[in-house]
Amino acid sequence: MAALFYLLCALSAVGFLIAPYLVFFVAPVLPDLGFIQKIFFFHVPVAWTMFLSAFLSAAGGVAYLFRGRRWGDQLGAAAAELTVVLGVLVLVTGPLWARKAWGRYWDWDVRLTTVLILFLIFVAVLLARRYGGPAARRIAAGLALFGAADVPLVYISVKLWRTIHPKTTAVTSLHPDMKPAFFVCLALFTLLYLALLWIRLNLERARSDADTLAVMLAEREE
Amino acid sequence: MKERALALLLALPVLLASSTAAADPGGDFQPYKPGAATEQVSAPLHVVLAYSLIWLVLLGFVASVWRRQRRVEAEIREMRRQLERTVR
Repeated sequence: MAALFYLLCALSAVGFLIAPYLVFFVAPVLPDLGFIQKIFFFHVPVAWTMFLSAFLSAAGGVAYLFRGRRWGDQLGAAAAELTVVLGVLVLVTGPLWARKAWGRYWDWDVRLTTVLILFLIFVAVLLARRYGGPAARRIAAGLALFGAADVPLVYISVKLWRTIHPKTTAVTSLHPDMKPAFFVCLALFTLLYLALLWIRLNLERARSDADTLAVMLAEREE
Repeated sequence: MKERALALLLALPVLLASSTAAADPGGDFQPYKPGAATEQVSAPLHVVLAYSLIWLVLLGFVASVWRRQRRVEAEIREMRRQLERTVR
């Protein structure tokens, strides 16, 4: 399994050499989109990994809540933290693009607002885990399910409501010369996400071992 | 200190959103002015900022996980030593 982790790291490293070259030197700058459109190549893959992370956290939550699986709790915790980290990136890179494209950093547009809600739900998951007391894990798992339910809403929001955010067809209608850069970035961020999830899961496993040892120690001392 | 920095990082998107909302509560009609707002922003600067931020935040996350992992492993080592002592 460790070999798989090193393979993920190696592929990510290679990707980070290729991706900037494709984004900045191969993908054309179209007159109507401008140079600021380069943010799209990082913003969309980061958003995709944020959604993936929210789903994985909820899947872990289901395994923990309904089957009592310990790995479910560990996956839920690790993926929730990554959802928040990636949420910060989505909510900062998006407005950096918007300032140039819309003339303002933020608009209470339905897409932006639903992403902000998703981010805040996962912040609540982390807060619940940290300060929720004995029932913290179950509360956090329930909240993660609630958060994952927001993901489809985020995705279809641009189809259901009038919005100034680019539609989901922005990806399918990409200029053919932009597609290699975009899909390499998408694969790269997915690999990077899996590597980050791996190291974060190791931390959860170590914490779980520490909890078991603490219980053993307490029993011995009694 | 660490918790304050984390809270600030988490609050950043919310602060950004609320400050812009306060600056423009009504969304009134704005006549088009050539060379206004959108032209004053440097696109390369924003692209570099976005790209650098992704790297910095992800590296910060890896450093944070590494530091926490070391702390937990030190705790595990200490507890194992204590367990061995109680067995003897």
